[in-house]
Amino acid sequence: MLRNALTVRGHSQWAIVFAVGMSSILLPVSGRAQDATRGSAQTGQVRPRSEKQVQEPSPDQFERLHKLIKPQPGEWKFSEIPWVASVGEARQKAAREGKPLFIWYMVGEPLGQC
Amino acid sequence: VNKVVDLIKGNFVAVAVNQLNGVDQKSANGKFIFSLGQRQANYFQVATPGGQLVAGMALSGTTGDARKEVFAALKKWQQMPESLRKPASITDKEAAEPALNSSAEVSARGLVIRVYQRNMKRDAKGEYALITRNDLKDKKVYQDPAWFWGNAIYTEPMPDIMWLTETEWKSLIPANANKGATFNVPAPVQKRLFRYHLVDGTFGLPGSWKLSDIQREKLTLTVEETKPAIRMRLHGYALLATDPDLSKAKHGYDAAIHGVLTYNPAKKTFTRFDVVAVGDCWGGDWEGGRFSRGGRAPLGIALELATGERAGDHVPPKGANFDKDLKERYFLAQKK
Repeated sequence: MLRNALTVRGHSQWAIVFAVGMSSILLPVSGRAQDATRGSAQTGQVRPRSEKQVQEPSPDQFERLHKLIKPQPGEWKFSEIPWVASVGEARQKAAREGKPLFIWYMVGEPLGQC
Repeated sequence: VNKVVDLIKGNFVAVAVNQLNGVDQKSANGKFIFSLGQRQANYFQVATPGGQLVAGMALSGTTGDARKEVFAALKKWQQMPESLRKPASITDKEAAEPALNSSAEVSARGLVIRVYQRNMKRDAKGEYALITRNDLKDKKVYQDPAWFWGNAIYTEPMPDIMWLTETEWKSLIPANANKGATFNVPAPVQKRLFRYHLVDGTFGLPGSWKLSDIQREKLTLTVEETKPAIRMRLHGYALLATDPDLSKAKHGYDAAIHGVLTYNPAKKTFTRFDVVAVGDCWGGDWEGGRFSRGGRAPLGIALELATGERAGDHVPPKGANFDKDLKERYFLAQKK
């Protein structure tokens, strides 16, 4: 339960600090070509994939799908902040520039999987 | 416009710390962090570079915006006496102290790969598409209120990092690269990809698959071009499930995998490592399914080379983080 709570809290932080409006873009990419649906979302039944069902997407389909999964314009606002790699480096930079430190803590990697 | 981001960018020096594995209490960095006092699991602090705490705030919960608090902290800092705000002398030795979780294991010779995990949907045509805020109004599909947290943060991809050692990435380059030749991806790379990175991390801190959870698998590389660079097509699938009897498996991911890898012999490095895994995922992650979507739902995972330009390129994979045992298992994914 503790782990569960921490994880949830971690995400809420990520969400709150860097919340941005979700882009309304919708970029359809063929799901049929690469991944024939096998089963029902309602029943959870699964028919396993066979080798023949894994069709190669066209280069264009692949490119579009790859781009679709990655962050879209307007997402990942937190990444616009020039995060400094270590606490020591941040302290030195802050001292040099006469700025305060903003230290973001998370259970997990704030800039990675959290 | 996200004003809290602009506020931090313009007025602060920002650093992110993994509370579980980011600081060593005995180090200068760790002593500094711990001198700032108590903090909760997920938190921000504003401090002077000399170690004077200005403000701290928990960022837990499901509503709110930290902008007001960050702005108040900035004002408080500006009103502090010069003696406190005056930048302390930070030695180069202190500044050079690496974070505990730095990527020393892969070093300059390893390969660092970005991983993105995204909740997706199928549109009316059955094609993969982004989940929009408008979609979230459908309470039958998006039942958990968490979908609305942070302006629909769970519709955005979750980042992770994959590490390959020098030996591992070199194992992907065929000794005699003949056009049309096909070979299996070596087990250490394949098992690590499947077990640690084809996971549903979209809601946070996913677990990893056991070796026995790999029910079906295949991953091959086919040489498409040999000059001036070796271009290979990655192709395969992974059926990952907690029970061989899929009707009993509470958690699974049935992914088709495609990719394009390019190795430049002149530069002796990969210049492209684009991979996509798509398919249906069901059940929860190690949080016991707290955020699991109902039934089977599309999960998209993409990989690309890290350039080193993002701060996130330098954090460890989730699967190798937290403790030494976990890190050891990450590098022995094909064995245990």
